[in-house]
Amino acid sequence: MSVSIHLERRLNARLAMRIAVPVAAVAAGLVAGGVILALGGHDPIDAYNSMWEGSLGSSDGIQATLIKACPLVLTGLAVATALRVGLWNIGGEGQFIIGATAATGVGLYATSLPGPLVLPGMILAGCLAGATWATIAAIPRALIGLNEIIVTLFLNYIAILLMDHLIFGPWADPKAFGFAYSRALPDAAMLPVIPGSYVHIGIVIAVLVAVTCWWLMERTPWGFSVRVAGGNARTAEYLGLHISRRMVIVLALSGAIAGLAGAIELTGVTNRLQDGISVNYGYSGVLIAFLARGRLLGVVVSALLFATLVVGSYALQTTGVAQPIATIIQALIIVFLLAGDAALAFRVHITRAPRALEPVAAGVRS
Amino acid sequence: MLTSRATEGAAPEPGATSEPAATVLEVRGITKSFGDRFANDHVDLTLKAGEIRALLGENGAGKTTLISVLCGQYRPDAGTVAVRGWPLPPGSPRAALAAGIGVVHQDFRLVPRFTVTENVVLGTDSWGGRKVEQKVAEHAAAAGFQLDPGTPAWSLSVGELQQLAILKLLYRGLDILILDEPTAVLSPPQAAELFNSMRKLADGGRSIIFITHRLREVIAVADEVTILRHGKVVADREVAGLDALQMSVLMIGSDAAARHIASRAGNPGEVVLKLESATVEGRGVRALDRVGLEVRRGEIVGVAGISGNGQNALADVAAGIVRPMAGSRTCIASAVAYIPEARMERGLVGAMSVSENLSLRQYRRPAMSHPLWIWSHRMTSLARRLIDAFSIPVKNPDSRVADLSGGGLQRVLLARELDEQPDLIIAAQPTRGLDVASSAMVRSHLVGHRDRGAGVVVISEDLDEILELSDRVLVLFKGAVVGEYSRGSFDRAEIGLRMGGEGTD
Repeated sequence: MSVSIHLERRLNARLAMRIAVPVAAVAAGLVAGGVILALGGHDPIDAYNSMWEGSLGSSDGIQATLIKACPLVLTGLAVATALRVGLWNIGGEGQFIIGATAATGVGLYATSLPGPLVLPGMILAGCLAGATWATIAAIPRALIGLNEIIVTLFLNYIAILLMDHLIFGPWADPKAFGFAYSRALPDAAMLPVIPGSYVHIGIVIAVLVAVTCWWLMERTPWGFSVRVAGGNARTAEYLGLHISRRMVIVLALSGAIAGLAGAIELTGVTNRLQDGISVNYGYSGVLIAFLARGRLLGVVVSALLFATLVVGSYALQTTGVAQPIATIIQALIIVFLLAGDAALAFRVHITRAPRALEPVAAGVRS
Repeated sequence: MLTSRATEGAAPEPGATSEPAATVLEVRGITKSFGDRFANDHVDLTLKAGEIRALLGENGAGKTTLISVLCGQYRPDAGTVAVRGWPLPPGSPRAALAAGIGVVHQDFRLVPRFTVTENVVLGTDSWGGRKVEQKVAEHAAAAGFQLDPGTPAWSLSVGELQQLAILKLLYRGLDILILDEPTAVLSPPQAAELFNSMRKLADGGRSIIFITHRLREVIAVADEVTILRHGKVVADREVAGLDALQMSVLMIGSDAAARHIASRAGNPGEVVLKLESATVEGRGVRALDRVGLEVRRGEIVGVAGISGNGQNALADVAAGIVRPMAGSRTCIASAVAYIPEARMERGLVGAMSVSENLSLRQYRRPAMSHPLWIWSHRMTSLARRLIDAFSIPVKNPDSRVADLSGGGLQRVLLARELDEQPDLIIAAQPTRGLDVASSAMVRSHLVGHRDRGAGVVVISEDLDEILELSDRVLVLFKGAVVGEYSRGSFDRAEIGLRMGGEGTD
């Protein structure tokens, strides 16, 4: 008796499958993580309990998750938006940092701005800086086809070094005892919080941006033309659409969203420019967009999931689990989710076929 | 698996040809169908040692399918392939190779960064060395190739790349060589050089199947010819004594009178499109050479020719997508419909839905959208209307267009392009790969729009289709118009000759 396994592409998975598979993936990730926790001498049940308490199982946990989700929604959107025109923006990290840097510059030096304009000015500066940073990659891509992945990636390092130069040098806080901090921003530069919580309004802005991007790309004629250009450049050419113009505009928009994320994190959380203001938010955005299969509204969901895992793994660390192990658990769940998503695209046939030369046994059918 | 092992055991020693004129390859009754279409229908073919056999036929006649069966890529529905009396297990590329059958594909399949020797030994156990280089050089010399074993492949000319691809087979000791349209990419002197080498190899005892649709080449190099038409062998004979005209009649079919021209004559009006001396060059090749074309309202102009003779460039220029580098294009049509040859690659967006693809020409119209909003229900109702009118085989307008079959894709494209009542229609290979029903629908739509008053250009390799539809026929060869005929004076044989580059001086 030989068994053959055969994969067949599945066109459309049923809704039940699309829900069951990610749930099963998270469960599988937790089981695998549990083995690692047990090997490390921790009780997996206790550990997961504290993870739950710290993320979704308590009011404080939910608030922490929402704060963490804000930059992730935006950097995920930055990637998913660029994907609409067929480009990979791997430079969310740099655009985030340059956005935070520009916002800091406005906060520190535009002292003549009237109070109510400080915050909008900072946020606008963050968006413009992010857009500019992305445009540096977009123009050579549109004109001569220079790979945007490489250019956006390398611009990340330039942005980080530029920020470091400023916070160690001209913008350094003399009272920070050598820490890589800029001077603190004025109070007018603080983002308000949602009443009754300590969650800043960034998450509301992020969701509004998500809906706006979705509407722009999926519901307007211009967004439609962008998707044509991203879906098949030769067809776009045949229809007479200007592809390079759309590439530049969309990548600039994508950069602006990542820059906005930086400005919001600055004004909502850190209140000063500091090394590590981005905990790989830009790179996580790539993963989040991937988990959302590039869908703009899906990004909100996958960013919330991602934020839950991150906050949960912080909580895990407070119970004495070492940070690397907490990160491994977080990574395991994501790997299972990605694998589950890939598996959804296939139907698995396992055929138990009688060998060709043997008479077919009764009741055995392929 | 058992049969395969038996055959591998029986694989001949390389180069060990038996007495002259022994049959090395015997193909009997090969039948292969795709869907309801027979690509090969009981094909027989015999190849003797030292023989060069031309395999002649139009595109879609079944040449490539037959070759794929011979080299084990396809498993035939019926029929056998035997090498020196031993039947090959069907569908086993390894067994075909072990029996000595090697194919030089049109795209060569070489590694540009590797040297000649590295490319030759790639896939064998060896990785070069002086001895191997020497052996490579010997094989090259025997075939009359001037290839330096140490040269990287990227620096070779097209002709040399082809020599390298042949050398690969020689080095492996294969002695049934199949060359798939080897002259398609060669200049005439390069082709002549190739023919010399082929003759040398055949004189050395190897047998060659040479695929082409150029009649002159058959006469120049082949001993025997097998002509395929619609998947069937219509001739299998010596080349000596055949002339180009006879061959073209066999290849294309002589039943012109029997095939009654189905469509009525058009009623030509004003000129909608005029190309004057339009020339397009790409990569040093003249894709289009001083082409003049006039299309009037209410007529169908057919462009006959074997693919690769400038059809794509002509379609792009006629549709106004590519501007001619020299010459001019005048077009008074307010709406131009273009059905490109590469439907999926150029006409559609695979990741988008059927309804979105159907709206590609109209989504910016006020009826469909406002700058800030697309009325998606109007998009859907347009889609439903077109799905009905063109019988697009899809239930849900929101399903991905990439999941449709070839016929379905063409219906989507046709529906979208013709819905705007265009004044000018450019249709390139509009029925290629389609089943009978879809082809008939495409043709009737083209005739219908002509009768409505549109000017239509049909570019096709299918001469039957051209003759059936056209009010005038142009023949394209190497980017130039080499013949022009009006309805009533269609001479099928002569058109066939001109398509093969004959009948002109």
